[in-house]
Amino acid sequence: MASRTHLSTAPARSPQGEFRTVALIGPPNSGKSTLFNRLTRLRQKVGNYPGVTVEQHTGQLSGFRDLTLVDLPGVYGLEPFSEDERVALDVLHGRMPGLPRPDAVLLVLDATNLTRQLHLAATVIALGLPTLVLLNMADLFAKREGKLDVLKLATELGAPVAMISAASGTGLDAIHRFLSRGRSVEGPTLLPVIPNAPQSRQWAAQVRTRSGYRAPLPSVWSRRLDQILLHKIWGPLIFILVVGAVFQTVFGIGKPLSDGFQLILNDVGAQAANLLPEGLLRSLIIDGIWKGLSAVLVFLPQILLLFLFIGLLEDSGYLARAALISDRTFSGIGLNGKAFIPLLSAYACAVPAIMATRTIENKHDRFATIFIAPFMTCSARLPVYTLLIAAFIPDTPVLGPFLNARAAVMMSLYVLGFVAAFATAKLLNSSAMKASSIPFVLEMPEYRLPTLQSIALRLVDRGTVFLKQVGTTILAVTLVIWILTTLPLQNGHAPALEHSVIATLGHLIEPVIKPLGFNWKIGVGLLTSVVAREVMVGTLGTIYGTDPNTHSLPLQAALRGELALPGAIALMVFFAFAMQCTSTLAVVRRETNGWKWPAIQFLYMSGLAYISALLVNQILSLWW
Amino acid sequence: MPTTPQPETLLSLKPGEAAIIDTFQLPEQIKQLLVRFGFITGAEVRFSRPAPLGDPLLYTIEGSDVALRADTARRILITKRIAPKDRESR
Repeated sequence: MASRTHLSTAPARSPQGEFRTVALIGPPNSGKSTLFNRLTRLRQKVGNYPGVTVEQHTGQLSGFRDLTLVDLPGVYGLEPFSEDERVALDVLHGRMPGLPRPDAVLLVLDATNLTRQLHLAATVIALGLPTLVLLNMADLFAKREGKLDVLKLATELGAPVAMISAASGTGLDAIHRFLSRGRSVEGPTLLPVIPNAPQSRQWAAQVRTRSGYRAPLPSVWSRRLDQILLHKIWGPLIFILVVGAVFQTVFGIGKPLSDGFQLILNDVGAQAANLLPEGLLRSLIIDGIWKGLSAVLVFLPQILLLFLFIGLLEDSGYLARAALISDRTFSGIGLNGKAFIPLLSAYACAVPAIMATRTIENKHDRFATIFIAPFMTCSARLPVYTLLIAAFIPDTPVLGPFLNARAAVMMSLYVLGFVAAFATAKLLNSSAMKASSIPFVLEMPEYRLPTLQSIALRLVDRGTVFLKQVGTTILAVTLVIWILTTLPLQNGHAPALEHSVIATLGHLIEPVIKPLGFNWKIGVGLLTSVVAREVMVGTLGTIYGTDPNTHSLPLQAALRGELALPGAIALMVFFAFAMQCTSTLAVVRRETNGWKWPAIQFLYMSGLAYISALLVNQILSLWW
Repeated sequence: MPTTPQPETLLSLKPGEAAIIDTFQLPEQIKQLLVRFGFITGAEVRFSRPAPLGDPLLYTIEGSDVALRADTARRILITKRIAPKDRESR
């Protein structure tokens, strides 16, 4: 990467004081995030997770000591229609708790698509904050014979303008100069008047003419690719192949990766066990913490792979086409194509998925998407499914070499979640929630090659979030479980599992779950997995790890002695439907502004899970 | 409800055909959303292609493709351009 022109490292000062908070704003696909990553390098804080209730990425700017750059969501305007736009507007007006009003704005526009974006420029400049207008993709613009007089455009806009290329890093020194002048920078000299749409358009047309703007030639590549990817027959076919390839890779390649990772983790545990003296401490570290954590850690490769694909699809521009292709299907259940992106992300994790619904302007569609997203088989269910399938389903072929029983069961569980989601959406559509009238409008971005930098940063983001979860919530739950299995101490030793506090708790709830085919140990797992689904595996790892009867057995073998086949299948069905994720509930509460929706969601999903698991166990028990 | 006999709408365009937008039979709020993408009285629109499953429809406006559902497109009245279609430029 050519970073000759990146911001110099000399701290900037100015007599009037430095900028403290600078907002980065721009429409979707303007390359805003690429610029943000380039300016802040890796020193960014990702707030896209519950607990950290900051919706924007903020980062320290290279070369500036006390300057925070706030990356706002991509918006077309500030009217606002979508939740994303509401957030952007709140930040710009200083109404976002914990975030001071920005001192200045960096407005990123796509130079190749300027006509449309002048509208946003007018609204942003009209806020009156010192604004630097950045015309990104300058290299593409020049290559495709676009023309523009930057100085004249600056005069028309009343704000400085710079041509940059965020991808290659050219022209970024203009940002440095702008920011280092600090508060000596004046606000826009004349504010664009935008009383209504026609006048705003007139103004834009005038700006275009006076600044000698000539739009670049349309991208030949995008046209050609669309001819294939949006073809009547090839389009849907490729769509199915792409979605299929994503899952095939995540489970085909991800599984061996996870298995290999598991071997390493086990080995580390065994080595560490040799170093520690026999006793409570070793039990705590190895049987308690390490077995619990590594049961969850092994899913890191698969989660990263899934996010790698989502990143590739999004950055390349294909995700918008996928939304277009699937809109017809979604409209049948009262959703729209913009639900495709959140629902695909929900296969990785419902939390970012629910945040991603902010781009859906239609309120009914957005709430319905939020409501059904947790039914999609998220990666936290994988540890549970994988464990149960490996323990109970034989590795026998079903469809010759193409499909074995284990893969078939895994696929059925995915289908089950999908069907539940669609049926629920249909239910919501026919119920009192009548669709509001904001229609589906979606711009097709040009196809672009995803950059290594942007993809790598996404993976670092998601990996960090996952590891944080393992290091905090799961570690805490694992510790509590270990303590409960160790108390009450008998002569300084842990009691037999049957006499531990955890057994007492487990037996307490046993009557409720017995009809589902679960014993008290599974019950403890269900209790702890309300925090997060994958905690179930950690909990069982700890319980069976401390139980001398199963201590030396792999978890799968230990489980086989505990559950009958109908109960195991009922347990999988239970996990397919149940809302066991406090992170999701927290994010739903925040996104819907209250406890009503998460409460309904929790009761609906858990009720469905209980009844389905009950039926499955009772019916299957007739045969087994 | 159409007031004129058979008003032409965005829906009556064939792929490749261009037209000038006349009026919107849509609420003010939706017009505000559409104007962001360039859908405004007097703007030139070209029907690019339908989505593979027939709906939504892609319209080229201000140099890029924007998807609208047929339900929205049929409420945007147009005047067809008679001029032979030239290579779209800007």
